[in-house]
Amino acid sequence: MTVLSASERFVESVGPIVVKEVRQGLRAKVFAIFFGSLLVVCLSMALVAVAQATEAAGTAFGKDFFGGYLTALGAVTFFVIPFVAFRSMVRELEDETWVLLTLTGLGANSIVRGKWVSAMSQALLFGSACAPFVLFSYFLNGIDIVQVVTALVLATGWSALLTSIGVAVATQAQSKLGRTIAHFVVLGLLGLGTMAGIAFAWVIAEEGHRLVTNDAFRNFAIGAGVFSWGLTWLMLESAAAGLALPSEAASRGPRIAYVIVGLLGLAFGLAVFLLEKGRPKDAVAGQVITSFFFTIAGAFCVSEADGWPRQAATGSWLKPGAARSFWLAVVMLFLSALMWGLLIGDYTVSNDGNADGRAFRGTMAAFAFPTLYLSLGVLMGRLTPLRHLSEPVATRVGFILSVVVGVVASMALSLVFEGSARGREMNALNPLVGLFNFIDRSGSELNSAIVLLGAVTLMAVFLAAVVLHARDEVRSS
Amino acid sequence: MSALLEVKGLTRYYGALKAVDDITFSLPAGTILGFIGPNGAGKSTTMRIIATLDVPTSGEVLLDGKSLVARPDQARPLLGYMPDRYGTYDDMTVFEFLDFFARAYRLRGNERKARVDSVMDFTGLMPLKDKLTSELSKGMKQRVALGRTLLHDPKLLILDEPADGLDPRARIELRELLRALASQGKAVLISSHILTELSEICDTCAIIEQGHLLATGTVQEVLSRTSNAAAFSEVELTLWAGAGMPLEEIARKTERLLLEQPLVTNVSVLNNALRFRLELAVGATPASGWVEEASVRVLKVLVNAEIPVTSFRTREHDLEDAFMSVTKGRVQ
Ligand SMILES: Nc1ncnc2c1ncn2[C@@H]1O[C@H](COP(=O)(O)OP(=O)(O)O)[C@@H](O)[C@H]1O
Ligand SMILES: [Mg+2]
Repeated sequence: MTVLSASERFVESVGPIVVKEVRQGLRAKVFAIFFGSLLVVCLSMALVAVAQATEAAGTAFGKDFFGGYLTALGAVTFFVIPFVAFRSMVRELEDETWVLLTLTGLGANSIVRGKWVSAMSQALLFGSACAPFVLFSYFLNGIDIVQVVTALVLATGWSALLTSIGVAVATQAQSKLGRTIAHFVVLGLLGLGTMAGIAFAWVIAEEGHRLVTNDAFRNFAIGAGVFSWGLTWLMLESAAAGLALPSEAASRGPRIAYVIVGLLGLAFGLAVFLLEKGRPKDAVAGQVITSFFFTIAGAFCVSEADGWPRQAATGSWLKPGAARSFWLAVVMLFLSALMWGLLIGDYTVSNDGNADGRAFRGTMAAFAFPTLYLSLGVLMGRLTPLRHLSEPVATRVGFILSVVVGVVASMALSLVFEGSARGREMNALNPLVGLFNFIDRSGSELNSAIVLLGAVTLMAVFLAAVVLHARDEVRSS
Repeated sequence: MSALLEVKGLTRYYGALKAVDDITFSLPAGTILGFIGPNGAGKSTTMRIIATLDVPTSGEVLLDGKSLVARPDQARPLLGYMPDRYGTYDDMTVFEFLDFFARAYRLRGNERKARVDSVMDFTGLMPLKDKLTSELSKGMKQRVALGRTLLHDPKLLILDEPADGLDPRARIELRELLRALASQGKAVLISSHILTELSEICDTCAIIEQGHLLATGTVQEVLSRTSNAAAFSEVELTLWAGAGMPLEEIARKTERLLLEQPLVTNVSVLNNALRFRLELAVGATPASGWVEEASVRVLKVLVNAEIPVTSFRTREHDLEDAFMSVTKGRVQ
């Protein structure tokens, strides 16, 4: 299979949706309004810049105007476009037109990708409308071309990720209530994402010279760039799985993306750690970040939709069924703990065996907490009244509830028995305070606490696995 | 030749609810099968499974001899599905809508143009080509939806409640379209909770309730099987007002006479028309032709009493009666 034929097939399968979205999009008023306003904003900023530049020649205004343009562009491409993509997907679900699309043979993947590609082409259109102005700020001095390129590349990735999030959230909401909630969720996520994106744009505008001088800053930029695309892929796969019919195998794509993006993340973490000669506390930070990722992505993986086609079995790890997804999430979490643990061990050995107990403990805790709470989520979703909800929703709500209960109950108990909400014993199972205690504090109570955490986690994993396997067996018989 | 569509022991649970329970039927090419049952009977669920949108808990569906449960991807090119909501995009014109789906069905260039044109021709949408679908009447919207299902020239059409909410003219036009499609050799599966909608459209029918299939066969078969089994029949007669006596008096006299006759119940008077019901006693087994016999007897009595009867009509048995008699006691 050549690259050419693959790209041809891509265009062929994505094509119809893009054609349709563009037809619909150009007819929509939203597009014209935002396109017009963006141009007006850019133009007025340019006029102000020219006026200032002629008044005080030689001063470097570039930074401010660069930041200004990025803010305007960011508001549109980080917020408006992802939200329009979300709405468009929601409407497809409300009117059940996606079902008809699936019947044409397009498949959930093509539908989701089509939405995303057409949203991104609109973003590109906005971007190119702004591009001359961004270049103009370059001529105002104060920024260099590395900053301009970095900002645009990162902004593209960030917009891609937020758009994929918009599409993915829409596909997770199958009921009316779900869609109402999804609106709030997506507005919240996009709001935060837009603020973060614009804030980072200003950092690049003001401090962008450090891209060349500061390794950590550069690594962060590279990491953010790579991972926005990795996460975009994972989001699109989850969206396709969320959209897939019961008659289609949905677990394949997200699992592959989950593993590859996860391994990529670990490899990136490893590279940075080795290059920067990381210390144990850096490894713990790395472990917390990677297991956070595996937890969030895992919470989606372990809660698969009902039903699957009988022929879906293709390779045992890709077979559908929440049990396999659950084990996959546990294994990925374990791999992460293993890698960071080994790095801490290696550091300890090469630095005269002065074992860093806290770092080890923190790493183990950052493995145990997600595993424990994913299992509790599964158990809550299956064994409590939550089971009346649709399965994915039940598990995710179960996960969130058990985290909230875990945090609140532990802190309350700790306040009563240890006289402080941050006590070491009562917070053994607290995924926030407990994790912080294990990483940051010392004391012999923590040793028994980690043993308790380990034992409870093992038990929970065992029970969750039993429940999931039993259910998968019923379903595939 | 075996049937185009074969449904065998189809069952679908939603949690503890058995939405479809062990349904078996077949549909040969060139025929129209009416799927009849009240709301919540399991029609849509069955149709969605046949349309490969859902999977059965157990049972099998063969399309052209191949399992569509095992290979939905291979079955999809052979079937066209129209959901109970028609699923059109509001902000697209009729042409754009059909063109988009033709693209989705991988029709390219001139082939696509020809196909879209022929579908618009067939459904009579040509004059509305450039209208937004949101501006169309319900009947027209539904034709757009029907046109969409025809783009890839499927062998089986699955239409979920297509006649629902249509005015009589649109309904008659729909019937003509479906007849034409059947004569082209397409198999059509069509559902409704309103029975009269279907009795004129379909060749065979299947009556479904609470997930169970209660009766299947040609419309004639189901009718004759159930009309013999029916325990009552409605009769309507009209009187001549110019017979000398005041109309009210004749009507009262007729009513009295009727009520004296065996099997007659529920007499009602409306101007010059009277309605009544011929009804067997509870528990009596209906013998074939009992309605005709009783009618003749009643009419003879009226004529002998010199009642000026100008018309006397037992209402024909249609699917509605069939449905009522088959589902008697099960629907609340
Ligand atoms: N997705 C679903 N989840 C749970 N129950 C459902 C679902 N779809 C249909 N049902 C139930 O299955 C039964 C049959 O529904 P349906 O097939 O839509 O009936 P009909 O089309 O004959 O009106 C109804 O009781 C309905 O409430
Ligand atoms: Mg229905």
